[in-house]
Amino acid sequence: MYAMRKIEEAMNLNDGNRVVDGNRVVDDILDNGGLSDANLADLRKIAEVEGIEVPEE
Amino acid sequence: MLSKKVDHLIAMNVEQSTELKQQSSEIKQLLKFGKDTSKKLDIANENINIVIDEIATLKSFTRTIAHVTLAMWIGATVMKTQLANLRARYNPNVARQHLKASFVVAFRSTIDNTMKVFFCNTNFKDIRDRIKSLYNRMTDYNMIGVRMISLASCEINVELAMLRGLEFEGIHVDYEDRLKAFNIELANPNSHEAVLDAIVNHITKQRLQLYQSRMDELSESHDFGIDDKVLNKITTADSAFFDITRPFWSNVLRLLCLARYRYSRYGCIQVW
Repeated sequence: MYAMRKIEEAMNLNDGNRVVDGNRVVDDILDNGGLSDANLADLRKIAEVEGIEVPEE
Repeated sequence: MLSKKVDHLIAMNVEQSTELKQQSSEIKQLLKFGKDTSKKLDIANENINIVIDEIATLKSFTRTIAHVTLAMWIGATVMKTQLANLRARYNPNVARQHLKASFVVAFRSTIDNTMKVFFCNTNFKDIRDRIKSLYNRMTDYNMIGVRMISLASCEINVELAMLRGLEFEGIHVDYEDRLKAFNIELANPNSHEAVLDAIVNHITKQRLQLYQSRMDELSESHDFGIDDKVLNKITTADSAFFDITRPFWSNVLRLLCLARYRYSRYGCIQVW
């Protein structure tokens, strides 16, 4: 039980202070102009291989 | 004489009046043109505003799509999403136990100068059983140790294909597919710990998870246009998650391994 509680602690999922936050990394990429609108088609490709449903724009 | 002047003035008046009429008509035309132009400008402005709105919508749409797609190539988000999905099906404690871990269990032969390193990928709830079954199976071996590799995504992972092809600097290994194990002949009889460290160190640098392999495959395709800098940033964030959290998982694994013994007044009893 103790070990199991430690699992979630390790992921720091409870306090919003995650070790590496995927959303923050993506925000950083977007805020630094890492993606242009032309990449939308590529993002759709990623969604397709990851099995994520993306609405039409 | 005076009559001539009056006639001349009348003629001039008629001429000016005609010119005025003409000018008045031209002014009217100009005013109409101005009105039309102003209308056109209003329409153009409206169109520009529509285009600006569309660009803003497209940007916000791209941002949203980037969040749901790119983040799924970063370990922290992958694991968080999996835990959220597990929590939707099980209570929090059972959900945590359904997370998966990759680890190795190493044994040294009591008969000859060989060692065996098993690669395991299992739910946290099954870790103890997995170690126990290996321990019971390896009768002519002493267990050297259990080492954490990483938290593993709940997908069927690609470690089998990856492990098969691994080469370790200065260490010759024979990979046994059936057991997912490396057989190693030790050059130095006391080097088993160092060999285990080198193997673990090398495996932790591999991209063993299926989402990583999907990312690598897609980014290598010629019709994929996302900048290398962006992909590098994602890969770095992904490995950072595993590197930073590995000590925590190692601690969890250590706790699970320690728990295999229960202390009583009769001494240490193995309970697994």
